[in-house]
Amino acid sequence: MPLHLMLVPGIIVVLLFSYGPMVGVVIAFENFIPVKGMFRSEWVGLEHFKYIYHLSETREVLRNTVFIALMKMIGGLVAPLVTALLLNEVMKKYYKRAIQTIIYMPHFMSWVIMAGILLDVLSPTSGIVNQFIAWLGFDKVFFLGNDKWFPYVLVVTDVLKEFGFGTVVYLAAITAVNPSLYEAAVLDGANRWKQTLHVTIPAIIPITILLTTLALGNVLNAGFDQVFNLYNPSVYSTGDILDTYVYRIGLASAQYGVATAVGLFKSAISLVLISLSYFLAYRFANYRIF
Amino acid sequence: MVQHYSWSRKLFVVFNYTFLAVLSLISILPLINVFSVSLSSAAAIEAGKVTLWPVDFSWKAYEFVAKKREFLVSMGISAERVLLGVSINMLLTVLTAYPLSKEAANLKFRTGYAWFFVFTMLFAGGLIPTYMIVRNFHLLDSIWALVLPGALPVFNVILMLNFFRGLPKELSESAFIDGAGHWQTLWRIIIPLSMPSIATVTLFAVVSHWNEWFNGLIYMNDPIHYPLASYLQTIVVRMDMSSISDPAMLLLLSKLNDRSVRAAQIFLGMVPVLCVYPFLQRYFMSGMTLGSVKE
Amino acid sequence: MVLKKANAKRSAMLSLLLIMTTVTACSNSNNGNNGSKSDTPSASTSESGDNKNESPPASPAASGPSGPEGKYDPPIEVTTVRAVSAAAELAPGETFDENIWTKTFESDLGIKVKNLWKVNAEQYQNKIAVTMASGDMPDFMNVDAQQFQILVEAGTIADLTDVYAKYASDLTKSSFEGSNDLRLKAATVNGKLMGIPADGGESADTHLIYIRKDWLANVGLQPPKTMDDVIKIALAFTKNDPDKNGKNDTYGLSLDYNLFNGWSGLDGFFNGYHAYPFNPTKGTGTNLNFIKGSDGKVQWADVQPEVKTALGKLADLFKQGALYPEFSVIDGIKSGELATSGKVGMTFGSFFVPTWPINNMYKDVPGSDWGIYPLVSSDDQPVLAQSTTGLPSHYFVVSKKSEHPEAPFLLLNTYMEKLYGHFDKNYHTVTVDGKDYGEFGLAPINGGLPGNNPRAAVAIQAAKKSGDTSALNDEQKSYFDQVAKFEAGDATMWAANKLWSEGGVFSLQGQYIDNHQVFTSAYVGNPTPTMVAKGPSLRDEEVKMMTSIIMGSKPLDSFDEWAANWLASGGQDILNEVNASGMVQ
Repeated sequence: MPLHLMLVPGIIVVLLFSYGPMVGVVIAFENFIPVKGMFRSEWVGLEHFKYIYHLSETREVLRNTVFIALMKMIGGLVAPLVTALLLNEVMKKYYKRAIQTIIYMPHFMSWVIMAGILLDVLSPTSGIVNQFIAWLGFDKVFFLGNDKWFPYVLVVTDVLKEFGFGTVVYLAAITAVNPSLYEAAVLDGANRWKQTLHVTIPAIIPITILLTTLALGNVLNAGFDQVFNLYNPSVYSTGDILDTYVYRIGLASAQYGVATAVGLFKSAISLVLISLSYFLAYRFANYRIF
Repeated sequence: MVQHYSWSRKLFVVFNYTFLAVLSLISILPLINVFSVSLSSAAAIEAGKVTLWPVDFSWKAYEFVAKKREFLVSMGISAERVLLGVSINMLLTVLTAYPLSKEAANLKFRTGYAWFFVFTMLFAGGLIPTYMIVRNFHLLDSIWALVLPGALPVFNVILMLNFFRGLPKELSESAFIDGAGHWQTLWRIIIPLSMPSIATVTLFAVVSHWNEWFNGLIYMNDPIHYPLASYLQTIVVRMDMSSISDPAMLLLLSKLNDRSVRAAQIFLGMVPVLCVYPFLQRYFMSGMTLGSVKE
Repeated sequence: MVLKKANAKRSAMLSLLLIMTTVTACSNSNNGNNGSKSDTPSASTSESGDNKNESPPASPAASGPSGPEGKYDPPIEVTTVRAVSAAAELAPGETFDENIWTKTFESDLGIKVKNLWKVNAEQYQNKIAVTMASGDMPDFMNVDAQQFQILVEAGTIADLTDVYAKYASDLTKSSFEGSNDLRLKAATVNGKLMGIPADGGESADTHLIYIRKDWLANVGLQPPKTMDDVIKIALAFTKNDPDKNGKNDTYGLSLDYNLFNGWSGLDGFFNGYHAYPFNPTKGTGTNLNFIKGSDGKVQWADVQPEVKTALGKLADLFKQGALYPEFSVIDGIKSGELATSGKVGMTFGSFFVPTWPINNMYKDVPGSDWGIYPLVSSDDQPVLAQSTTGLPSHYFVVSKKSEHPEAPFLLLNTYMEKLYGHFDKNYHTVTVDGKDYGEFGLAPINGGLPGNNPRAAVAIQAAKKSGDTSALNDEQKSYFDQVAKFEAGDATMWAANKLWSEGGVFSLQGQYIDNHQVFTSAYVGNPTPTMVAKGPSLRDEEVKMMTSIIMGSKPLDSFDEWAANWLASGGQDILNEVNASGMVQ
């Protein structure tokens, strides 16, 4: 009983501020006009969903979105994990702490500012990256204006911006590993590499699965802020994602119905993916994610 | 054998240190850029001369910011918000995560509860309905509008409950045998053992409260009530000239475009969180020693 | 959510529009529109008791004014909402809630203006939406053209026809006249005046050519007389080392991804070839230019063959290195930096270019000086400069529930009187400790007299020739002084000099107007349904087409393919709607 009691405050908050507003999804089926309110705006059924579906480039945009989001997900999983493992090998505490602090700083930079800097850094005429590429003897690359490179630029810059933050989680998990396990491994004659392989990694697999699953919910969130600040007409074909596209095509004129429809669509997809991974993890690893 | 081992180990250590150094260098470049801009003259910035070092060094921007009331006030509001918001976040997170970390045998409908919370991560009502609710509770224009709607960060709950589950069950079982109830077990045994994860989740809560800007803009009826992130958002936006038709606007525009002042405020806005971070990080370490209970 | 972020970015510009739509430089004593003298306190004779029994929404309160002048006794309160810029600096002691305007309104008119909320300008749209949804509409507020239409359809805003006739002063009324009452027509729905236009009626967006004079001298060329000269200059600026630094590091013509813009846009370049396309990359895709054909039917300006000709020239310029190779990824800020860092020596642009981005160059970059020249033609036909700001983009609307629908007009009367009737500098700009602060933007309502800047320029120059400044009002005098300061060696006044002196921005733009050299769209209505639905995606197609033709990644003839495609994918519907609208001039 105390257990149920403990849940009460959380449930109240969520009921009020999360479930309460969900009534608002009706907007997705209405020609919503703020003055008329949620319940008196004209009902248009699936009109907004049809509108999105019939937008000429929806398919291309969906493909871009999923591709970019998946790549980011993989990068966002691997990079922090590797960094956390490498950091764990650093014995000098102040060095470890310094690195840990520094790599998570870009997380606080807004994309508006990052975009301005990236424009300089990646410029084919003057950017440092291209000077390096030229020094290596390769052709310069117009990273932000070339539709082949653009999605990868998005992925790499996003990972660079966010990996420090993910590292924190993994590092905390590694830190929480029971030291007696390492002691036992040392007694068995395992070197650092073997210890990492057989103690550290198994210890953080649960958190890895957990974070990956939760990230799956973002498969249609490819990062509006980032793309919006970096893209331009010449890379629409590969860089345009669902959010930026719908924004450019319709939302600039505050079409709340369409916005809500897009949100609903994305939520539904996320729900399916998360449920799927939940049951897969449970069925095959007998592990409950949450 | 030993020789070989230490040789490769050395190589690895050198590589590792260098690699991490390069990585952190890349990470810190944007910040250095912002910092340099904040310390440079407008003319040098306009001419595109500032990248990594301040040009025509000057403290002017910081002097200006130090006198800027909006900046200081919003910083205070953010501090209040973090204190209040994070306390509530942590309380609710722990209270919610603990029961959910139990097996279904101990807690009826556990799975149902879990999905009840997770569902809110996936579906959101959107701007207008949420606003209506905040308004109907008369929270507009008060700090509570920034604290209550997000009082329970479900993502953090999930992280926390997984940490709780990783704790040895024998501990709470033995506590029960000693006659402790759930509240006591949670308070006396689980929480002290979970300091590393609590520190991590606290960090998340601090950061998200410090950085969140949209609610501040929408729920506050007066810019003087904006938290820092909202205030910074209002000055960061890049001006696009496509639709101005008025010389008076441009007069103001050139003022808004003072990039060194913007940069100074952005930089100062990051400082508090950067200070909190190493502190919590230290906590991870002490949390580890506390957690080292033999099985 | 998509929406939050979307609208956050939505309008960097909305901020400026909303805070500063006011003042197109104030006052004039030349046009004879001396507003009523509402500053005499005696005008506030109360007529209490006369119409006590009428229902409040239909008529003013018992003891209020019955015409453009007068005072409420006891004072009334009207509510509004404000977009503000947190970054803008206000004079000490002044706030958006209490300032010289609100105090004057209260003391002179007996009207207390209360701000229900203030929000940072970029969130104004969202805040208006949530406000409307929660039914907390203020008595009056500033909305954009689209919200205006929504509110009209929803029937929540008041018909202002009668109160306008009764309460607007002559000066206020005169400010909406001119160019066939276009602005009032735009605010009128089914014969009823539903809003007060907040802007429009100007042609300050017509382009001029800005060229580095010192570079011209360095490459030994004269200012352009024809478009061929422009191209010659652009190429010389690219290849002949105009900055004499021995490096091949300069570009001839400024351009960024916006393509159409008041800074480094191509509007003026196209105009030189008698082409009038307009569809900025960051625009709505619904503000289009139409041309009336000889058969009386309209055609879209952007698909005309002249556009293709000009695109061909641009592609050639790009090929020869005269355009920044990365123009397709940079915005106006960045292209501005290219100019200020001495990499670009020529741009097309509207009136504001001297004030941004090149305002400090004369002071900071030794030897640099930008000259201003009118647009030139590619042949013997006169050039027309296009303008797209004739119609209002924002309106003030009054809630149906408001008890004093006339109050905004009384406020506006006072506003016009203080800034245009009898100019009072305290309401425009105050100087505290040597620093100027704008006051005009603090007023909860605003208006303007179209064509004011060119008139001021004429007056200033006349005064300079005659040496007699007595005919200048305070504001014109302050510009006159700024120009004089520049001539006395004050380099910080460079921009003012470029704006007001002979051959400056407003002289040249005034000449466009006087010589009937302004092109405006033949369609004067609001965006049609197909424009709203298809405009943005058609805009993207057009931007892609233009960008890739200029960059040479597609042949010039792909223009024809695009033009045919435009017609097929909604363009024809747009043309039909426009032709059937009855709003073609």
